[in-house]
Amino acid sequence: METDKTNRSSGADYVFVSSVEREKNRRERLARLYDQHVHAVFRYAWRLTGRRDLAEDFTSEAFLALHRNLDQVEDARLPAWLFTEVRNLAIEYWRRASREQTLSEAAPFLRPDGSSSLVDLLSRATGLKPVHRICLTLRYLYGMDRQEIARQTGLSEHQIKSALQYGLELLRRELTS
Amino acid sequence: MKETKRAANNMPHEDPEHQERLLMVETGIDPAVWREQGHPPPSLLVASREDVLPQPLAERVTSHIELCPSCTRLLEDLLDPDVACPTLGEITRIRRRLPMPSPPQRPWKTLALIALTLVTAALSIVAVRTLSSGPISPQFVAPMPPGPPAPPGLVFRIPVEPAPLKLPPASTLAWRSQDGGPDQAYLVELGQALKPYREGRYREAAVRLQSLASQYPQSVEAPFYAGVSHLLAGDALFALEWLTKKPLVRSHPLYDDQLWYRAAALEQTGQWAEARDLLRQLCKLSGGYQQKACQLSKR
Repeated sequence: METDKTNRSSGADYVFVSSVEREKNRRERLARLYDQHVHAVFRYAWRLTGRRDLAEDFTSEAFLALHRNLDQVEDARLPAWLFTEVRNLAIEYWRRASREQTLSEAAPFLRPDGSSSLVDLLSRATGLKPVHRICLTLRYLYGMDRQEIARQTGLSEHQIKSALQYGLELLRRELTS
Repeated sequence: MKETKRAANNMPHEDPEHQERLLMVETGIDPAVWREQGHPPPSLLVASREDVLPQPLAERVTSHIELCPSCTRLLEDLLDPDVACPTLGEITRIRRRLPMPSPPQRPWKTLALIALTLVTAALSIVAVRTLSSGPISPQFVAPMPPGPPAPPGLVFRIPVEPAPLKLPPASTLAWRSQDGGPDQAYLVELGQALKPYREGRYREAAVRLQSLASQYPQSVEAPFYAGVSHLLAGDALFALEWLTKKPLVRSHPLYDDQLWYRAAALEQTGQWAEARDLLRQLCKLSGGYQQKACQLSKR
């Protein structure tokens, strides 16, 4: 009787240990896949949403979905599987945003011809990098403040300040030379 | 007083708003004219390329982009691979939301760094005493990654320690004041990029200084300290590349240092003859490296 109890107890321990071990292995595999694919998934999410905060959310959502389906998804199907998850989230997001009419009616996209002076100016300053041009365009064409530009670009406000300063200085030199 | 002087010299100001005013005065272009309504938000511009927008909205955004040079240019820039890269903060935040083992904490790393610092300090003291008392002991080997075997007759090892920080005098003003002149942004960023260097995180320092050197091609300090950081991190080839990028004139405060560290990088990459030539040059100068260079070049 006593022996039977001991056996049963060790069997339960065995089951418990193996499930702990399995969960540990799952987490380690997720960590490995995360390190391998997070950059690509984030970049893709950003291209679908154009917003860094959403790209961050969608990337973590996709990896959470991967964790839920880790036993069904083979490594060879990645990162395509993660891309599909992100894409579905993005389509759903834009459909919802459009249905709420925050985009379709509130923002009439008009007068696309009057802003060429800035483009001319920016294209003349050949020393400017994309990040400088983005900061200048968002600041002076879109009228965004540094905080908004930081949200859009993922740079710190100090970096935005430096980029604006450098960009303006270069434009100034270009125009006065 | 300072402001008046600056205005008189027509020097550019650190503040972007001030630069904006200068731009307006000097070019006759009012930046306020650029601010127009009616452009789609940047998020829509980017998403319009990926076929995820509902059809009517996608059509409107696409037709706007076709007619608007500003948005076309902005979209091109936004799609630059560097811009879309996640930052370290974003990667960390995403990781925190996932059920994963946290990245390994390494308390041993701190202990190892302390031990390494103590050993380096002890060896440096031994080195200084040895060098100041006479010829180098054949047993003396500086703490550094082993280089390729030296050919017979050319056996020396150049000890490498962190180079002293020699920054332009204006750098002290750049930290304290908001109006330090046109190079202020560079100096402020240089100070920040040198922080990991001061703290002994040489790989990180090398990356940051390299990026600064690319951003400011005229800079001298950034490529030099990038090279030294690579050397201290054990990447002699990268070190050599960065230390030869910007040859200095003899009057520059970093001239001796550059020769010394370049010699060390050459020695570590197996170019002993070239390293010895540089040591001989240093031996002829009356700088802080003269004695060490003379002793090493004679070997």
